[in-house]
Formats: sequence, structure tokens, C-alpha cells
Amino acid sequence: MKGEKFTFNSLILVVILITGIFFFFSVKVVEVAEHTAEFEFIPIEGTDLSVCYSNLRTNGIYSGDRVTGELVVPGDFGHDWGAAAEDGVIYINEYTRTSLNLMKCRIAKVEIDGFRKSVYMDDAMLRGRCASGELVLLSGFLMPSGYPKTNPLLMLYGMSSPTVRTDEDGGLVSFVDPKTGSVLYSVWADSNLIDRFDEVFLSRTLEEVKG
Amino acid sequence: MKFGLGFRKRLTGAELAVRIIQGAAILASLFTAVLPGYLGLMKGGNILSAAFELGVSALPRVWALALSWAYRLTSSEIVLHFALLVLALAFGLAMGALLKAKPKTALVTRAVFAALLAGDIVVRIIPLKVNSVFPRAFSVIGAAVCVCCLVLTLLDIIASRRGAQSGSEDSAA
Repeated sequence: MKGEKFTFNSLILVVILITGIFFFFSVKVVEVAEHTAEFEFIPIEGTDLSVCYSNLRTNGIYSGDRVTGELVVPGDFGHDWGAAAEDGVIYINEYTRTSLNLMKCRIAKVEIDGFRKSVYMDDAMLRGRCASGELVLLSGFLMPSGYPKTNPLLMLYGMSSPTVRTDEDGGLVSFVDPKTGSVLYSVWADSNLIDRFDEVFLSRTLEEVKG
Repeated sequence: MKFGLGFRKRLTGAELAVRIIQGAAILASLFTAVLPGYLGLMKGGNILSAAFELGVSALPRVWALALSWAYRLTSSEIVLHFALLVLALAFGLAMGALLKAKPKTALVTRAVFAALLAGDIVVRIIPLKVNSVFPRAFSVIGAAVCVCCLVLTLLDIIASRRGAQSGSEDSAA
């Protein structure tokens, strides 16, 4: 303990060791405490598939009915905003959690033939279809999951992201052709427009929104 | 140039600058260390979240970006916490070894460190997205810490060059 170098570096080492022990116990407590019974089985439009969200079964996309259904794609998929199916492809919200249960959302693309899943867009949410049938996505934002946008972890998360913007309230609204998956039109929407999302974007056609 | 700040051994400017950067990492780690036990810390302004923002703002931008990238990649606050501390430890050990190496190696290390700090200050001035993430007050304090580290390192370089010159004059005489 004579050299100052040892004092400072050893301080960091001690912090690493103590917090390592602390994490081991406290994260287990968070995992154990979060369970509440849930079972949701929501059909996906135009298919015989359904999204299952439950802690009684493995979460994911099931084929068949809620009793005898078979799991075809595991994952925490969102049933709240619905999923869109077109030409053998399903676009669906997929939720992922950080180790401390900070919720994040991305849009997954599932090919019905073979049930191959890929990430279509990170840090984005499918909100539904507009009046002319295009998919409407909201991206460039983070899901605070009950925590304010001023949460320093979300700020750090967005720091290196090419799409996430932490300096403004709102998000990028994109209209996507469900057949090709290409973005047809994008517009930045402030929090005021986001609050009236259905009225401003979903109840209008793409041409009306452009106008 | 030696600075006496209550340490058992006086630190040179560059050594002190390294400790300041390591201190910023420890400051930021306090928030992630307490978070699993008290998730409510994320809900509003508090001293630990301010310490986190201040610490990350004072770290070199490349370092902060690497942490952000690691966090996005792993989605784990635990990885973030340990990445923060392990980087601080590795930085301290590497700089400690290099600054105590042969005089020429130590001088080159100081010069490279000063150049990196100067580059970091330039990056902070450019209006990039990464510079507008945390509140402006923390950004200003972070830049001030970086300038302080640069000044200490430059003073150290000047002192060691003077020392080398006087040493060579003595040997010539």
C-alpha cells in the first residue's frame, strides 16, 4: 500500500469485487419479484397464427388454437398494437429487456414459410396500418418503460445510436410498403402529434398525410 | 512537475490527470452499482444520477461512446457497470506502467496522452449528437475536467523536458 498507483487502482478493484457480490444477490431479487400471472393469446390478422404472452407458457408465436397451439417462433412479441401480415411475412413488435428490466421495442420480420425471424428495425414500434394500408412505424425513440426520458441510462443508450434521438421529444413516423418492406415516406412527429397518433396518421391515407 | 495533493507519493501532472479520469469512472459507477437494489433512482433527478451524468461527461468521449455501444449491444446494466470499472482499471494500470517506463517512453506517452486529450476537447466543441445527450452544465464541467487534465499533462511534459535538458547540461559540464 505504499505507492499511490496501487491505492487508486486497488480502490477500483475493490469496487469491482464488492459490486460483483452485490449484483449477484440484488439482480436475483429483481428476477424473482417480477412474476404476476398472465395469459394472452391474440390472433394475427389473415393467418392461423397467434401471439402468446404469458408466464404459464413460453412466449412467442403459436400456430393453432389457445389450447393445443404449437410454438413456432419463441420471443416476447407485442400484441398491444397488433401485427401485420402480408405476402407470407409478419411484421410484429418484439420486446426485449435489459438486465434490470428496462423495456425496449423493435420490429421483427417473420417469414411464415419456415418461420425465420429477423430484426426489421431496432428501437422502433409498429403502430398499425394507415387508411391506405401502409404500415405505420414509430422509430427514433426509446421506450422509457415507466421511467422518464431524462433517465441517464436511456441517454447513454441513445448516445451511440444512429437513430435514437434523446435531445427532442417525439419520434420518426415511417410509412412502409408491407409487400416490399421499403420505407415510402418519413416525417418527424413531435410529442403533440404523437399524442394524437391515431387521428393524425392511422385514420388518414398516405397521400393525405403527405399533403 | 510534482503535485502534492495528500497522496503518499507526489504525483506528476500526467499521473494526476489519469487519476482524475479514473475518478470520473468511479463516480459514474456509483449509480449503476446502487441501481439493482433501488430502481426508483431512474425515476427522477437525484444525486447518484447526477454523479453518473457528470462522470460520463468527464470521461473521454471515445470511452463514453464505447460504453454506450456496449450497453446497446448487451442490453445489460451489469455489463455496463463492469465495463466502466474494468476500463478504468486497465487505463490506470497501462498508464501507470508507461509513465514509469524509460524517460523517453514516458515522454512519448505524455505527448500521446496530451494529443488525445486535445482531440477530445476538439470533438466536444463540434456540435455532434453525442455532445448534446447530457445536460449542458455537465457537458461544460466535463470539458473543464478534460482541459484541466490537458494542462496538467502539458505542465508535466514541460517539466520533464526541462529536467532532461538540465541533466544533459550537467553531464556536458
